[in-house]
Amino acid sequence: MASYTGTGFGRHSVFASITGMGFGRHSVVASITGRSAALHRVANAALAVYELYRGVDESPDLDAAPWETFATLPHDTAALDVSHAYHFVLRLRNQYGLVSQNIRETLLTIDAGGLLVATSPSVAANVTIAAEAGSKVRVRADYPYEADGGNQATRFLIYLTDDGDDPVVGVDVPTVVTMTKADGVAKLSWLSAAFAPAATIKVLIRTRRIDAGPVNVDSASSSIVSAVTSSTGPAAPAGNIAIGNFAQVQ
Amino acid sequence: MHLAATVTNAIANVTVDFVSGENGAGAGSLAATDVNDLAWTPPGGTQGAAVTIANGETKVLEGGGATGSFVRVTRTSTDDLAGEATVTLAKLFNNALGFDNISSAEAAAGDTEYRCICAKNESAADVTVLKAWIGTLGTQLVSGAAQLGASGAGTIGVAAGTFADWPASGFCRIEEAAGTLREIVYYSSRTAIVLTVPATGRALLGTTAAAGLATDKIYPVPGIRIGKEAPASQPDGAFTDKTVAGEGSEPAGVAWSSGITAATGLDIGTLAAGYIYGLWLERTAPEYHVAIAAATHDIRWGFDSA
Repeated sequence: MASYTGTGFGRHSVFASITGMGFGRHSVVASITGRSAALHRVANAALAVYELYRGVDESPDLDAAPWETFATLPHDTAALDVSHAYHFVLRLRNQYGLVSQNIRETLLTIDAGGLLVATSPSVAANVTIAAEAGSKVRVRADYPYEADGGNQATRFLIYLTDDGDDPVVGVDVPTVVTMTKADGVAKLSWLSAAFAPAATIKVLIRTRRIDAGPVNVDSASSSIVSAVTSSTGPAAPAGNIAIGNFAQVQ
Repeated sequence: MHLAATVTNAIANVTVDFVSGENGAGAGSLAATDVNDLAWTPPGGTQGAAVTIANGETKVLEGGGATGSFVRVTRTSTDDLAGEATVTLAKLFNNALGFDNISSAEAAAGDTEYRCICAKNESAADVTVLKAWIGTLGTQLVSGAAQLGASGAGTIGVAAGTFADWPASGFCRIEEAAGTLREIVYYSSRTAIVLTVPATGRALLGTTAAAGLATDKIYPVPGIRIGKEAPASQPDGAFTDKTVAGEGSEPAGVAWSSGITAATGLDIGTLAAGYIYGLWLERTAPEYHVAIAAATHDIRWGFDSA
């Protein structure tokens, strides 16, 4: 038995584990929503009227329907019953239905005889008196005129005595000072003439409106304030100033 | 069609270029959260993520959780940013979307007018699925208590809910229960539960008068509908010119839509970078339209952007 040997051929593969990176694309899509809004108005010329609100013996209800409406001024209202105080507020509505927000009242009082009773202006507030040098006094007072609307005063009346007695309206003659109105308050700052030293000065203040006629319509009296005059008065400020590397004021 | 913005306590060297309508009216806040960072808080919303902005850059700042509520701002200095500005937003009167006021004579006689707004893709990428539709102005209800007849004046009443957030007078879109448009009407007044519709308020904005049902859905809508027009050429061709014919002349060939959803509104499709498209608006005021101090037009839009 013979033995043969030969060469055989075959193949094998060597596999290597390889890692790599792949490239690709993706998109991020954003879904976007939005809103656009704008406005216009719609007119009705018939809406453009004055609206008159009326309260009888009280302020009117501005949330209720107006008492009267009218397109032009001046306007005559219907007749008013006697013996009532009428509070009127006038507003204006435009053609878009927007109404003004006026709240200022005009007060009219009708007496039992059907006559219009003049409405007095308000009493002056913050009335003070202070001695000034030279036996004078300075009187101060405030009058917040806006609150009186169409019934505003235009003058201060200063009733003054220097004998220690209270001033009396109708007896003493007042000094009349025309008001200067600014920022809702008319301020009185009045310096008297000189009195005897150590005199007791008493003052009360009234406000005055001058109606057609002319007719003076005065407020009630303020409380009475008083001061004692002094020949020297309060010391006047005195100062010295030294000027060097710095200024010193004393 | 952005909101009007009034800035108080402004942050130095930052300008507000644009305020999106989605912010809504009210007071928003623009805050410098760092020397180079800004963040936006829409009215009634929450602060969004801070955005770093360099000198000369223009950036969009979004409110918290609301991508539509954003402002676009520009920084104009290298100086450190500091402070917090209040940005008070308000709807604008009488711009192209709001139209002009309706005069007393126009309101008495009835009036239909047109405007065209140009939409432009200012980005460098295509905008796809561009859509526009009409925004609603209050809560959707069902006309369960009273419905309009086949024609003429009538009332619409609700058995559940109220008209509390609806305009005092305006337009009502009536849909069948399945969502098909039945009619758009004008109501001249309302209570909490009843709309009063005059005879002149029927069959508006391209609809036909039809009797309602107790299952109809009703929506408060502006008195407008919209249409689209491709320009004569891209990227800057002309649209139909109505300057001579006047604002009351309808542009020919425009198909109108009064849809109130993206699905039922206008589908403009894709708008390539730099391209434009025309959006026409038709405003209707029926005869005897009552006066109103502020009538709102509301347009919604949406698109996809890569």
